[in-house]
Amino acid sequence: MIEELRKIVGDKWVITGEERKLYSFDGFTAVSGEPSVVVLPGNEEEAVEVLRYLFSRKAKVVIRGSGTSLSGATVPLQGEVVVAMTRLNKVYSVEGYEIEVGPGIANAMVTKSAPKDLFYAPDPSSYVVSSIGGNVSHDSGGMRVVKYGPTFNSVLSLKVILTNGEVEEFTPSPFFNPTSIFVGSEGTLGAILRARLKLVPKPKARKTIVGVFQTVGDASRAVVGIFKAGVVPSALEMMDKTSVSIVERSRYKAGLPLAHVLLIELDEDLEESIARVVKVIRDNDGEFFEPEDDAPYWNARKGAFPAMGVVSRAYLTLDCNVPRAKLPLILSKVEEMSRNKGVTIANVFHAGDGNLHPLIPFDPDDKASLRKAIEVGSEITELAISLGGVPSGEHGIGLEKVKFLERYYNATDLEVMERIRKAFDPHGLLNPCKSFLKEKCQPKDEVFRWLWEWD
Amino acid sequence: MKLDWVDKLSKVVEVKGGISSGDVNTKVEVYPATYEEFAEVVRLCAEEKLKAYVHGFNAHHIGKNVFADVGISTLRLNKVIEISEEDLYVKVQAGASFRELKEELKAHSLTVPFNYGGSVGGFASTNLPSVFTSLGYPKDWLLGAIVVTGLGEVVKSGSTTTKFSSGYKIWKVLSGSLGWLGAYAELNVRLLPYFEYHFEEVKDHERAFKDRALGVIGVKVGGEVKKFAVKKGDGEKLEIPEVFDFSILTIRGKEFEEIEGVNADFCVAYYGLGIVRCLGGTPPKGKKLVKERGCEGDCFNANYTSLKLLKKSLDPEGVFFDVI
Ligand SMILES: Cc1cc2nc3c(=O)[nH]c(=O)nc-3n(C[C@H](O)[C@H](O)[C@H](O)COP(=O)(O)OP(=O)(O)OC[C@H]3O[C@@H](n4cnc5c(N)ncnc54)[C@H](O)[C@@H]3O)c2cc1C
Repeated sequence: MIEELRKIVGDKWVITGEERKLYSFDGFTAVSGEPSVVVLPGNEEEAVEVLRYLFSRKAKVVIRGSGTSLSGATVPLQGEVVVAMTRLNKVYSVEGYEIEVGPGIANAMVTKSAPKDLFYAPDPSSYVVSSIGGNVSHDSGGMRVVKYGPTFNSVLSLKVILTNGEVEEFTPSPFFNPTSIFVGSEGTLGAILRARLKLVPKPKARKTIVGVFQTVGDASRAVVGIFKAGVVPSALEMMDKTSVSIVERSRYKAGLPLAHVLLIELDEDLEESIARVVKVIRDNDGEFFEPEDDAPYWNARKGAFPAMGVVSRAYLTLDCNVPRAKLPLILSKVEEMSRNKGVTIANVFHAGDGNLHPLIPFDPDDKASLRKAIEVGSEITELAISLGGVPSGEHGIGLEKVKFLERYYNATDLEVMERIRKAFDPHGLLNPCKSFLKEKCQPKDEVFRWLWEWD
Repeated sequence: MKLDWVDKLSKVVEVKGGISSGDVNTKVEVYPATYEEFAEVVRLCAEEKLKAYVHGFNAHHIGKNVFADVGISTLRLNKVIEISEEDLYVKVQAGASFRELKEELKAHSLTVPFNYGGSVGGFASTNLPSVFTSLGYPKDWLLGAIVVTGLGEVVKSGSTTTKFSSGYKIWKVLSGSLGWLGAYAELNVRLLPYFEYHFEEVKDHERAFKDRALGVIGVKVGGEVKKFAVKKGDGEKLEIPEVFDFSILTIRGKEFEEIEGVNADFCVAYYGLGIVRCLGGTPPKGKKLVKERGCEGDCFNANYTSLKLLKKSLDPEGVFFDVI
């Protein structure tokens, strides 16, 4: 098999030695796997040939973008062949409000390749490295979802290869467009070979207001208040006091006051919207300022995950999403859990979407600390679901959240999703043991047991 | 003649005479009042090898003419279940009137930024463009749904939150699939604060769009194309028809090039949505076309294996009528 793969992509791009272990983990660092071999096709034709060959051999495959998944969606658990799409990073066309790209291109390069007055709206904090293929497959979010919608809303059509070897290119039509089922499908239905994306005219001006609150309750009530006041911000992020204190000790520091902070970006009806937002902040006992240069504050927000390195070598990033109205309640419960269990929990998240990212540090050399982090995380995610929320807003189910599916869905819901997966992948070749499963795989060790099984 | 299956249906659901509206023809019409009744009807159709066609007000049929055994009307499923001012969504049953829903939302200073004269289920299933062209298609505004599959399963798909990376987007792929893959029983639709709007004639459509109007359209009557920006604030409105004969699909931003060339009685270019819809005249050759009415054969240019796999998963018995 390795020889065949080398013939297609060249010796250099088939990785078999120790180096292949670089592809045994992703952004979810709590676990790792081991690929049998890693292949990096250099263009679309090679990718098609590689995948056709692997599918014909019934080889199990993990399709990988940049490997920044925070749900472990690219970790090879069964000695799969990892097919990394990084080199498929071409811009095929830019026309009107559309851009067509290869799946390996980094998110940031899409706006860079677009006309000056247009931009690509989805902006996960990993935008400098994460790939469009990965963004599409996780239906990634970011700061601007609150106004512009998740990646889904910016994907017009896809070109995919199915496990029967067929390549399909969908028309960007409003009718009968299968693109929708591939968005968020975590590499389980086929591989994305190209994506046609929507570009949006840039706003004439943007304005950031920084809201500063003494309690999490006030800050989260202000979030709800902003929407009730009829304002839809273009971004609305929260950093709680814990995360502010961490960021301010890191290279991302911006001089934020040690408090619970809201970063509110507005990009239309500025005068009216600012007045309303300011009133809401005041009504919720907050203070505010309007920075002349807002870049350091957004940089602090975007750097908040890596800044965790200041306090811990490793941490879990939760991704449960609740209705905004439930933010005050869930945040107070998380605070309580953190106190009662003696676990640091930093909250830095997309407040405007109700998309929580509690960050829970653990010591990678101490299994007990990982276990505790997983348990606390599990409790928070369950709570979110019981409050009308979902297990994942933007990072996906991957290998991390499979057990929560049975909390969110009933058996019939799972049955129907299983039928879809089986129809597209009858031999179970794509990303086994992950994502939308009816039956979970057998845990291979205790960490997987903690992740996959209930106590 | 009394058909056996009609008796069986009558035990489950209210049954009335069929409709024959030219493009939609059914032998009987049924009116489920609960999701369970809806599912029961579909299961019965599967058992009896009947073809079903799901519809609301039957106002916007698109695609092949329908000759189905059972018309499943959603009109009894017409409740607005929840309006969330904090989270900007409405949970509403598929048979509710879209216009009435908008009236009700207005009382909460909220709106769904589309115009559609049919049911909420129809709004979601047809996924038709509207004059607010910078706000995307209905599909982008659907947060989740309760769906009835072709096996009569009632399933949840999606949520009420703006972000959802927790499952296959069944509710999204149903949008624009005209009831062929499954039926909406209930929908969660994203909302905006209420706004008034008006149309303003413009010369430079690109400028208007880049200045971030709510939408930009072109209207072609008798060979002349007029361009309008849709802007916030009360004022003059244009009446745009809702039923067309064919559409031309194009690249977003190239709609005006298409509308110039087409030979039809009346056309609307939806700038930024990649579609021009026309009434009368002849569909041009060599274009990506959607034949909306009186179509035979391939109406949608959508002969994909992926669609067949979805049909196999969601409606394996082929209960829902083949509009495609
Ligand atoms: C510091 C940091 C910040 C982050 N911030 C955000 C954020 O703000 N918002 C957010 O949503 N996420 C965020 N993420 C998560 C992550 O970046 C996203 O999920 C991203 O979309 C993953 O892209 P990737 O290219 O790394 O994909 P990978 O991790 O390589 O893959 C992710 C999934 O996509 C599949 N896949 C990849 N390419 C293809 C393809 N061509 N065809 C089919 N399937 C494919 C894989 O099989 C896998 O299931 C962050 C991650 C990090 C490390």
